Amino acid sequence: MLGKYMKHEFKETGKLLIPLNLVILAFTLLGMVMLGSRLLSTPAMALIGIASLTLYILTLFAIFIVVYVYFTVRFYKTMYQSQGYLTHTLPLSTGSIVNTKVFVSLFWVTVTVVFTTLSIIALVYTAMGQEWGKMAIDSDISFLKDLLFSFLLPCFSLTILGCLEQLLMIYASLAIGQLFRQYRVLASIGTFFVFYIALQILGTLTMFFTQFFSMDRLFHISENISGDSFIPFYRQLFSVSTIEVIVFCIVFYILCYWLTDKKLNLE
Amino acid sequence: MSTLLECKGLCKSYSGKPALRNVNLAIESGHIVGLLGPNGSGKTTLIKLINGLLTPTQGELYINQNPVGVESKKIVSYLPDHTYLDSGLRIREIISYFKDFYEDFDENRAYDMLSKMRINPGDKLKTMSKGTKEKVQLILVMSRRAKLYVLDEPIAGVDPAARDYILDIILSNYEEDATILISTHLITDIENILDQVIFLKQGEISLISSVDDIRGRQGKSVDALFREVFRC
Repeated sequence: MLGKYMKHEFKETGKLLIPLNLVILAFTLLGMVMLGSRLLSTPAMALIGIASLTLYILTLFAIFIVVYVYFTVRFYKTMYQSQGYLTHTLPLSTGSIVNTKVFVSLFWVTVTVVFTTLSIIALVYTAMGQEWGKMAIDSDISFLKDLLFSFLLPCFSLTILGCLEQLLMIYASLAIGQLFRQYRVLASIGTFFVFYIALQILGTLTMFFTQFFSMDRLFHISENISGDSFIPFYRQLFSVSTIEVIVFCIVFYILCYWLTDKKLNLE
Repeated sequence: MSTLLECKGLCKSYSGKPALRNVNLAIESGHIVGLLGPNGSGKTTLIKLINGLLTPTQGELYINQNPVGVESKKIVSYLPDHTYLDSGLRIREIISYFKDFYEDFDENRAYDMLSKMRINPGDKLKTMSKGTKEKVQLILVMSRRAKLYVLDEPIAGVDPAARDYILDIILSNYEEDATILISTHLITDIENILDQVIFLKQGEISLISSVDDIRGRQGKSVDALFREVFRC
């Protein structure tokens, strides 16, 4: 039954998410053609290049906004509005419903992040061409390995975890908003901002509490940013941030699950 | 006859305001039961509690000896009092959705009823009138071979001519050992099909009786008794 629900969720969400990712792909191919053909090498065409780059960046931002707004509206409509009458009368446990919604939305957000990252890499590679490859060959191989495993991969993992945290924060806010008899959307938005501010405060406090951002340390890092302290600094930063994000994810998930399971209020 | 639906001291409050108070109820299988009461008497609240769309403030609710949950949802077919399906979907897609989730859903029965009502399965819900949407929803709900059908105002949104047809759909498609719980204001229209009635007044049960008893002993129609009990 869970598999069927997931299949339907993928089918429905794919109607928007597949075209959105195809837009990223189309922009990337177009950009690669423009950069690869050296069309932009003349001063007159450079202006068009800048405009295209601006449009590309704005499109990427817009796509991420659309993705988040879509999943927010979809979760609200199918869980706590009219369509919730169908969702909550299906022979599925609350856990199955919430887990499916979270998994499917995280899947599409991850796909969009991957498409965006690959798009940027493809465009930068096309623009820099051989210089990039030469830089890689000239660099110390152990440093590159360290860069990949201690910086790039943790950075990607933390980005995905951060996306999960954002989604769960939105879903938990909606779960709290549905408890209100009136102004549910307003209550959800209010809750989201309270969570957001609390997250910022707690995040900053954690950093200071763990003495991560002591002035001495920051001074040392800024002086040796390209030196040996770069990787260890980020390794520690990722560790602290990852633990923090996981804790928040668990809190938001429990809130969302518990409120939907025990306090569902489809008035 | 076994008890299909049982409420024990069921209470529901909204922000401290009681909507249902100490409802004790046992409905057996194989009956058509009218859940009757004026606006705000708690009919829809009780129906939502049966379907797990609200959580009770106090008390217990069992369907076929199971608390409201996955097992109860397998045997309850529910028709809300408003459109609850994704209007962007085609009827064919909704039928496939129902078929995937409800083991008791009879796809052939659904297509048969659609063709009798001259509704095209390829149409999207959003292109239909309110009355047609309600018919589609009823067809989907009645295409299940459920043990308990819970219908909230099934004839409220359609014209009098269509009401008879809808009642006919209900009567000709439910399983003999199943129970139908119908909530409505339009008592005259459904009176003839009811076996039992439950009167809800300000969140409390004021009467549970068989229709034969009301007619035989009190010499009144259900509609006349309703008007007497709920006179303003």
